[in-house]
Amino acid sequence: MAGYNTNEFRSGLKIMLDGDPYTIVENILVKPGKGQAFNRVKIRNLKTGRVVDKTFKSGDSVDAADVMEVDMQYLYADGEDWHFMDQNTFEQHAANKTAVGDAALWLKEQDICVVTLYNGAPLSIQPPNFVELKIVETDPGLKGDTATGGIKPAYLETGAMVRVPLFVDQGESIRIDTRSGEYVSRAKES
Amino acid sequence: MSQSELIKTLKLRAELLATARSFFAQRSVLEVETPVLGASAVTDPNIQSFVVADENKPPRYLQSSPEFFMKRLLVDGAPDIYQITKAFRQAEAGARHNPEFTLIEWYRRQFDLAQISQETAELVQQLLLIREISLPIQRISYRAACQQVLGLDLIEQSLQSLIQLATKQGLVAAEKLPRAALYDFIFDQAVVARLPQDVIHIVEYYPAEQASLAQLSQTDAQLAERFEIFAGGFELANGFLELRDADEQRQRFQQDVQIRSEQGLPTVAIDETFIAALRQGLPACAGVALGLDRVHLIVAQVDSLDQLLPFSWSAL
Repeated sequence: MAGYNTNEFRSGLKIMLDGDPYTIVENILVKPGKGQAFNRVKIRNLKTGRVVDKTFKSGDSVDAADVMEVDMQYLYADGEDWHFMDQNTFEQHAANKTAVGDAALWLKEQDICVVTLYNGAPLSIQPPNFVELKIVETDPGLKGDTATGGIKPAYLETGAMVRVPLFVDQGESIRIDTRSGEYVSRAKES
Repeated sequence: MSQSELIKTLKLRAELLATARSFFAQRSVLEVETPVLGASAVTDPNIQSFVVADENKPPRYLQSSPEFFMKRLLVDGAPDIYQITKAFRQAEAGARHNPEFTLIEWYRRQFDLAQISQETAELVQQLLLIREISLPIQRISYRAACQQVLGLDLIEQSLQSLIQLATKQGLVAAEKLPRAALYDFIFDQAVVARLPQDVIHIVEYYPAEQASLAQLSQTDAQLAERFEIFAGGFELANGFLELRDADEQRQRFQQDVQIRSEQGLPTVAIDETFIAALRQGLPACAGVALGLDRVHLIVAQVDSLDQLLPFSWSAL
């Protein structure tokens, strides 16, 4: 397996630690004037998303993680897996529930997502930062009420629940920031 | 760096240099220069020197510190001396490290550890005052610092418990490291990080494993007559009551050479001219090296050397 020396450490590098793939978020050289040098890193576990602080003795080697981030088009879900297609190779990949996780709430067919492949299989899915989804259920809109700032829950075609302003209606499409899960605006008419 | 930032950093640097020079002038410490390109490199396995080709002659080495030449001056009869010089260490690049950096190094005859560390802290204090940063000086032993922050005496811990402690603090493969490296990690990660930042700390009496070029304590063989200065959360200076015993010094260098070979590091020959000078007789003295760029960071109140140096290492 390929490896990296600590002097190759930089943010974004994918490494293996205790059997899990990690990405380096931050790398700092720590060295006393007289003494051992260390690389202090923040690394994110690509399976769990947890960020941990670790320190390596400078000069040590670690295994590289076979991890790639690929833009893929979301095709469909078959009740068990979610299917994606690499638009360059037309290769299709099935991601299971663990890999898709909360991203399932924001997946709309034909949207382009970032699929993280680990040893060739989808490990995690990152939906687009903004998606447009249809409201399938919400309380009737209060026409013209754009001023009071009140909110109500709305259920989307994907099953997600978002808080929307009172004036937004069932059947409308809205724009959502998937990073915060918050309503941004009504979708522009296409 | 914008023009106004450039002028600001250049002016501050000039003030730091001028303040340091007047500090030593007031104390009658003589400014000297020694060769930057030496015929030998340091054996310290944690310091990798730059090697410079010299046609068909043996290579020269950019100094990692002016220590050996300055001690040779003392042997030859120089009075109290200081030097402001560039030092060079391979692979030490980061927010607070530059492979080429500026050291203020000085030696005081007949000073003990308390005197040299106090003087160093006072110089730091004066340099910080350039921008009205007024920090108190606090003296604490290495042992007491560990006790205060960790609630235990690192020096009394078994190797096994040091490994456990280091692992708990996030060190990967701690079991492969010797005591000295574990001390380095735990002290920096767990102790220094938790010392109050708005104090100039003199930390004195390091573990004997980290004696480097310091004498061992006369009263406690577990300790070395070594101190460091910390402020703003990082190391500023390192000083010793200087080891004068040529045989012991040679033995320590020999150990370095051994470790280098075990770790597959470049082979470095012992600087025999330095050992010969010690044999001739180094007068009783204490010495210290202060990283000027680090002080500059604190005075300028920035986080990274990139914001300070007009020509940063990564952008030459």
